[in-house]
Amino acid sequence: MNCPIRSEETVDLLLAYTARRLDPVKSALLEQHMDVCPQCAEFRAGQDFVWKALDAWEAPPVTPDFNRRLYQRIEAEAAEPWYVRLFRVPLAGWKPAIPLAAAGLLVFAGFIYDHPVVAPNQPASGGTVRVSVSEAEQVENTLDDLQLLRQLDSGAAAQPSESM
Amino acid sequence: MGASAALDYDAQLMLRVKDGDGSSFTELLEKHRSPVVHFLYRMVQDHAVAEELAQEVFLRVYRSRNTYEPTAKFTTWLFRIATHLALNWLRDGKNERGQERLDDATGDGPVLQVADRNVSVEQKLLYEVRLEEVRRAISTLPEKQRAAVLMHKYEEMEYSQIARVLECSESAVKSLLFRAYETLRVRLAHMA
Repeated sequence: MNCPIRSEETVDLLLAYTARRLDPVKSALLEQHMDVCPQCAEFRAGQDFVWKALDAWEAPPVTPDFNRRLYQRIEAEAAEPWYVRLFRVPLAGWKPAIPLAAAGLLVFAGFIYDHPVVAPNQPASGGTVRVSVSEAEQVENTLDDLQLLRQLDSGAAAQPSESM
Repeated sequence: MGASAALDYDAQLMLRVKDGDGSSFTELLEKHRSPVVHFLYRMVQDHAVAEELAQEVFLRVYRSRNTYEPTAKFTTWLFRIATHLALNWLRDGKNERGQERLDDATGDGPVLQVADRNVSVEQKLLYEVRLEEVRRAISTLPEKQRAAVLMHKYEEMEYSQIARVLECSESAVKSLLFRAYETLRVRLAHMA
């Protein structure tokens, strides 16, 4: 059997062994190997020690009101208006977008600088004439209408005196 | 993961949460609350922060219920959220909080977990000192190595699952673990 330490691909055999996750057949083979390989035996001893040291580190129990606090937060979120929930995006998710957005803004500003926005072009000369003609016609028609109205008014004012 | 028959039970529970079943969320919470809090505690080494981050983990799980798709094991997804939150927390305030934590001799962990009443004061002190050495050794590991060791040692995850949580290859995980355990062997050698 090749020494697992000398091969990176098989070093997980030793890790699995010390984690007690290696199947019995492989464990037996590895133990036989370690009896004659001081390098692997040393690795196992060191790894066993680390494993036991880590075993001693127990995490404190979860506080009893963990669920209650969580449900309170869920309820509070559910009561928020939809637009608040809409913008509840994890900040971490936006972090990579911030420099991208800044770069995009700079490019856009540069583009605007190079291509200044101009006021809509004046209509072509033919169009101007057409508009002017129509406007002049409108004015002329209005003046005609006003004159007609004045004539009607003067006629109406003359009629009563005639009848009297 | 395609067919629903191949879904792990947790993923099935999450799909029920997606369908509006609140009791399935409670079941998931009961099952995974302790592993998540303990993992986060060992990552950040502060119990209050660990619980706060764990609350955020489950809140994100709940928020994502409508868009949840069981493309991986539920625990892979859960620990990916937890790992991201822990790494962000460590990166955002590592210098001040990390140092503060290491300098805090009292800690907030169960430093006196020895149940035996006959344990002497000296033995208790020795135990505390050793425990502090272990915590310190873990805290000095690079963040990804630390996460890999904690998932491998305490959550008993397979290499493939750790790889999916850390978004790297299996061989990268083996390499991370090998280097991490090697560092721990060296750092803790004086205690042997």
